Amino acid sequence: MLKRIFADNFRALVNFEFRPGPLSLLLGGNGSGKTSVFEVLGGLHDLIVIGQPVDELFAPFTRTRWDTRDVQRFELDLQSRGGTYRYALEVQHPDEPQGKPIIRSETVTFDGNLLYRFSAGEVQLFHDDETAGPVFPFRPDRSFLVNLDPPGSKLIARLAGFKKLVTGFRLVQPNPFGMEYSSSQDQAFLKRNGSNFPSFFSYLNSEHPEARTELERRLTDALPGFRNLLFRRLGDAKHLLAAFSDEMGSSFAYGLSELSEGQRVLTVLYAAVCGLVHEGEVLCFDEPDNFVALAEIQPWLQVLRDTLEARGGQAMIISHHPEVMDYLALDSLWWFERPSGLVVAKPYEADAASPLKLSELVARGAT
Amino acid sequence: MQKNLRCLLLCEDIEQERLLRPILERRFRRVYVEPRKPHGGVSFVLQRIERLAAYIRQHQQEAVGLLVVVDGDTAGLRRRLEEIRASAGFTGAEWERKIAQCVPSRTIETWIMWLCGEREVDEQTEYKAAFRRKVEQGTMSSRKAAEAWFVQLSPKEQQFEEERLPALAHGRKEVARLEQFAER
Repeated sequence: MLKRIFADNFRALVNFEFRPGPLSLLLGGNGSGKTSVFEVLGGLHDLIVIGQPVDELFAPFTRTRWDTRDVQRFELDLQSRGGTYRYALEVQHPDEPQGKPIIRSETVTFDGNLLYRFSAGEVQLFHDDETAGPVFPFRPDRSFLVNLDPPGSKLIARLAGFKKLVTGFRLVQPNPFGMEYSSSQDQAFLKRNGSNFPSFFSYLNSEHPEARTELERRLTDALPGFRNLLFRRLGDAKHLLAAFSDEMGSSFAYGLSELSEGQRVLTVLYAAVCGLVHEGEVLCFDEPDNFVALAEIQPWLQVLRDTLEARGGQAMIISHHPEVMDYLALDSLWWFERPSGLVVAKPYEADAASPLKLSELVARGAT
Repeated sequence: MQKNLRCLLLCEDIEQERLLRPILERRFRRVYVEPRKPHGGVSFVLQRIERLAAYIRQHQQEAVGLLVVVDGDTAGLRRRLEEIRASAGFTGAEWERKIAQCVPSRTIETWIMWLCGEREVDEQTEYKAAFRRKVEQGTMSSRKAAEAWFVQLSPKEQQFEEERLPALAHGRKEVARLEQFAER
């Protein structure tokens, strides 16, 4: 479980700290820094898991505009069953305009004991029994951690465990206009905008049939007349179709392009819950309610809550929607604001004596 | 199941939802949880009953029911029922059969512990802390309690429940009344 995020000198996050709960709702006005928190998690995921170069993830323009310091700092506290990991990263930005940012230092500890350290172009690994492991040079433009292949060496199983937790950071912000309609290969991940849904569904279909069954059951509740999803092969690609039946029992199959935007978004949202919620995973939903019919928002949130509680896992939701606010009003609420330009996140305390709902209080400017 | 059969659940907290939503989901296509508020408690629920009762009254032909849930706390079953009825403006009309009232006493944790097999409970004692410990130990959950709700009690257990936990016995009858409406 993600217990703490710290970011310094990243967009409007300066010396910023945030401690999410099992199910957190991030509230606040436009431009208050909520999405920046998700971008920190996405950036660290892509650095550690995907192996993207640091200059692409933390380009010079991501520094706080009015801050003159040339170092960005990030920290994560991740609780696992046996203890707590702390990850710390320092990104050094160059003086000259043509230079590229590099990793100045990167460390992972477990309950305070070093597992991994990178600094001055050198990696030092430590075994789980706290003895020093190998030391070797490494390039500063990428994280060495991407080379750890879970479950990794038995001697550094804890470090591999850390990477597995970071692998579980999932950003979900469905965009119905960007969705692909066919799959050419199975993909075990869902892209942030849900565009690869057919390939993710193909993966679920072959590797996790129980998740496919559950997804179709949920969609039967959410989409009137929906029966199931099926592939139709066309050359090398498999086109994904959604089968519906009418009240007379006649059945029709539609391509994803023929579904409405809301139907596509709901399909991706339920796929994220059925296919991605597992113990240790952190799902970050950025305005998931966009395009979704009013009466379908709470049922999806209920399924999310039930699945998190049944399987474990953690979710953070950014939303401005009253349905989301009022349903999650008793969960972990965080209010984001920028009183002096810098982002501050504080636990949101609604006025208990007011007869207004949480969404009404927020809509009327209460902070 | 009737088309668009749904139930509104007006309750104080998440634990009440955890127990009662799965129970209602057995009969209703959709269960919508009405807005709650941090520290809103009983008073926020009572404030919201009137408009929901008016909605049920004005949409008598629709397949929609309402379950109101407030903890008995130290007030107890009888007083809470009076408060609910006064807030809703009940007059004994036919449409009121679509509104059920549960008063978990002393709190919903009492019901969950009983349903999970704890027999040494009563409606006067506070069990929140004890329940939390059992949840952390993994021996109890609202989910298990919701499944146990449908387990047939032996005559002896039923008698025991009615004597020790009259608010639960009352709540079961209320939920059964809503289920009858749902089956029509």
